[in-house]
Amino acid sequence: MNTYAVLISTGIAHSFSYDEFWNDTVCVWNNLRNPSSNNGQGIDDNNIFVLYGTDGTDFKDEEGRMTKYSVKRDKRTLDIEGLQKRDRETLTDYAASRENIEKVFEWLASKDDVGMVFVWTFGHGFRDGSESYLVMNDGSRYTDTEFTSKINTLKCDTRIICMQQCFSGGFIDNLMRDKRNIVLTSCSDSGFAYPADNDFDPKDVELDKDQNGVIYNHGEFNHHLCNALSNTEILNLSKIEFGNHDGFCDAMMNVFNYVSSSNTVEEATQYFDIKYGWCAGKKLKEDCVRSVWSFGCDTNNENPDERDDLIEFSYPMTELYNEEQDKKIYLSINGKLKHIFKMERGKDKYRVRLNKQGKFGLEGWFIADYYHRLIYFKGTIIGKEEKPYCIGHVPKSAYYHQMDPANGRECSIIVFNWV
Amino acid sequence: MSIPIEVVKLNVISKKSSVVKGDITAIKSINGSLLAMSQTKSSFNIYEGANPSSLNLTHQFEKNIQYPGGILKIGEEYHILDSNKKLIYMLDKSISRPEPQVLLTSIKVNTASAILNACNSSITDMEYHDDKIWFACMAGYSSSICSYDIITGHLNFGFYTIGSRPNGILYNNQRDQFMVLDSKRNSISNYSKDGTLSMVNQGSMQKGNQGVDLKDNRPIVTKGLAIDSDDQLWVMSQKIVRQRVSPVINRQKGV
Repeated sequence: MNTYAVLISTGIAHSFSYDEFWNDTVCVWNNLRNPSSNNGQGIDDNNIFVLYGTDGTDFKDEEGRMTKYSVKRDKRTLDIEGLQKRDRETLTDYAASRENIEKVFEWLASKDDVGMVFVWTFGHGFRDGSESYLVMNDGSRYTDTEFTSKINTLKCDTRIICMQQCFSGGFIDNLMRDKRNIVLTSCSDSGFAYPADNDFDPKDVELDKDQNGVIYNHGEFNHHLCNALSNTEILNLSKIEFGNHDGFCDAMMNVFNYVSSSNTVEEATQYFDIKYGWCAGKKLKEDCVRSVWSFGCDTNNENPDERDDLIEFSYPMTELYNEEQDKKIYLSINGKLKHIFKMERGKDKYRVRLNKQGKFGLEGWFIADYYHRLIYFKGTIIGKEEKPYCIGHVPKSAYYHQMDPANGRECSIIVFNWV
Repeated sequence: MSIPIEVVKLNVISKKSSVVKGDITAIKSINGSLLAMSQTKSSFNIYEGANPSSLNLTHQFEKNIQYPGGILKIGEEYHILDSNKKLIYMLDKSISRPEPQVLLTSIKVNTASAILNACNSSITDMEYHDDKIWFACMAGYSSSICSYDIITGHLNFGFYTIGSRPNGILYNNQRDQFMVLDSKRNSISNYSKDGTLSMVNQGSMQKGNQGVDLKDNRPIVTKGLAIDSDDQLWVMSQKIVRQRVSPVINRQKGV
């Protein structure tokens, strides 16, 4: 049995920006293939597949100054079914296209000697509704569902998946359904990944700089992941026997603890395995509490005339904690600010009357109760049968009381509260 | 694909100026002249003029925006951005007070809202073009340009920026392109409206008569982006707020 690795970097490196899309690919590859005697993970280079960029070639800057991460591999022949047979010495085996990624996974799924697979992804990530995805270099989306369906075809007992892209935590709810997956992501399903920067503490500055003065950039998560991969005291994959999934869980939990505690930017590192469950790194400070309500439960309709209105209550945290008297809660409907509830008023209410071609309607009042620190809706919902639902901050004491289902749905519901 | 890189002169407007009361918080181009906003302890002030040394006070109004991040003049109306709340205000001249107009975070119809609603994103600057308010979102690797259509009320994702610190946006009518300032390297990226990158300008900073090439060892960071009637590019200077830290500690023998 063997360990395999698939490194996928869908971002495009430039000499003037985002060179880390290349630099980090090299760093991860190098730390994986270095023997444990040299503080690496000892994966046979013949079993490491690198997918980068748009045309299957390595990154080179125009002036030829950025040489630190130019590498040569031992010459080898790649012969993966469905992909062109080729002799390569470059780091990049294939362009990071959807087709190539899937062919590599399909080829791995067809093999019987795969004991463990290590997968690493980097590039732009995005989220749309409940789906996170990796943005491919042609702009298309490789969704969490599509990615998971390919990963789950691999026959091995353990797959380790490390992801640096934005919103990567959104892959976990898909990948966790197969207990063989161990997942480490740079951020949550609603957060960004950042370059290796520090907004708050300018001490301890050590630039990755070569003798020509060229400065090389890295991703924050990758920076700490590479430190872990290049330190056998934190992670030593070659010491764990294939089939010992608990052993891999212990080892990667160690990596998670290291990466999340080392992270100095606003990333909430996420982790999942079957042994330790779903773990999150530091809790981020949020600038705003938001409750977004849909009373008709059809927010994804392509036709704006049939799409439900989205009603948002938001409350900037900065106002929550300061001593100012004029604290405010913003009410907006479909992005248009409709009302500001001002606390010094004592009592405040807003008349809401929405109607979408008779199919859906909302008629009543949003009433602020400052004594109990909440806003509630009282009135009638016309149309849909479903219970209203809230995205974001769900008021803790929310209740739904349906009074007269025969004539529309007269109800009372708490839509927002604050401490 | 090779992207041409050219050096361009960036003129710096200091945060404090002899012709402006308080600290400058935003600059913008309008019809070949400059628009600037400053804040004092108690008020916001709007100035207009051909260049920074000839700015004239046009409006003074109540200071009720917590994180002023950009200013626009559409027709005769002034629009002001709260960077962190992602709230666009319109100045009501009759009461000398900005009134909230659009809360961008609550428009949840496409992927742009994922950026605006994620933790710690901020809108750093905005520009008006083609019936849309285009704005620069600073959001790690998801830093991007998005737009709000003032006719339809739709929010749209435009394109990723080359760089994680877009701090100024300008629509260049002559080139029919967006210019986006990235304060990490003081570079300006030039994009067509579909996000195609055509050129990168490395900024060479001019303060007074002395050019300072800041590159990475910069004493200040830049913000905002405007062009005057002489085609001079202007940015604001701010104290350094971010600093890069140690990247991968290399145990990578053989690389």
